[in-house]
Amino acid sequence: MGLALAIAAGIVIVLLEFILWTLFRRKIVGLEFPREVDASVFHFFSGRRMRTLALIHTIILLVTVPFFIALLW
Amino acid sequence: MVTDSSLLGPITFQGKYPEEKFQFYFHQHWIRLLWPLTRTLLLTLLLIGISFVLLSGPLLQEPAARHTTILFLAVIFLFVQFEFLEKFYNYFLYLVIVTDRRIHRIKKTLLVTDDQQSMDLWVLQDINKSQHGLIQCGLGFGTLILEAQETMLRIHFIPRVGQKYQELMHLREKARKQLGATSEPPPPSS
Repeated sequence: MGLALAIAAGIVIVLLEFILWTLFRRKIVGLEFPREVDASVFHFFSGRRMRTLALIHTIILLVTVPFFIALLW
Repeated sequence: MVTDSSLLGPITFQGKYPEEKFQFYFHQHWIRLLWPLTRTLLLTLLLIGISFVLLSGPLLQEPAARHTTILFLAVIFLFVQFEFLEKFYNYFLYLVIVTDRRIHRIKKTLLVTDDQQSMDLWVLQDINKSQHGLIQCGLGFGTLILEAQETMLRIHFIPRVGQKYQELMHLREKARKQLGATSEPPPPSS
């Protein structure tokens, strides 16, 4: 039962991350500009880096939450 | 958000007229994300502490109570994480774009908001800068209040607000000179 719930939690995490990322990509279309005209404080976040951060966030959640559920069930 | 390629060709965005020349754009100051990040970290630590106390001790020996607690803690943890992720994405969906003729404030959220407000620079009667408190003055961010005849646009958490204030004043004068130099009136703002 614990393992099944851990797997279900993993699926929910992946789905939610995918949905949020897709919504973000759809909304940011046309709002990405070259670094040269960026007058913000940080110019670190590009589309590629945001995607990498989203993947890292997904992996961290996939490692922690299902592991927590399966281990402590 | 920046693109991965460097400046190549004209920059365009929704609501831009062909004759407008892109000057610069910016997001809000990073301090907008500081409280959501701090809150997420504190809640995560709190949840870890509660999990440790409840699940390692003798309090929850009954399997049903234990399972319910584990599920409840997991759901709360995920809610906290995804709430911050949503705020993080929303930060990049709020930006101000300045061209040689207009200032555009674009405010979107992931689901329910998609606003764009544009104001001609040449009609701006007053451009006021506001910085209050140690944090705003120390970190260099503040509010710009742009007033036209019947409209006021307040833009908060502007990074390097002093510099933006000077640049907008300069662009307004340039826009007015350009307007005086051309025979036909500029197109109306949307």
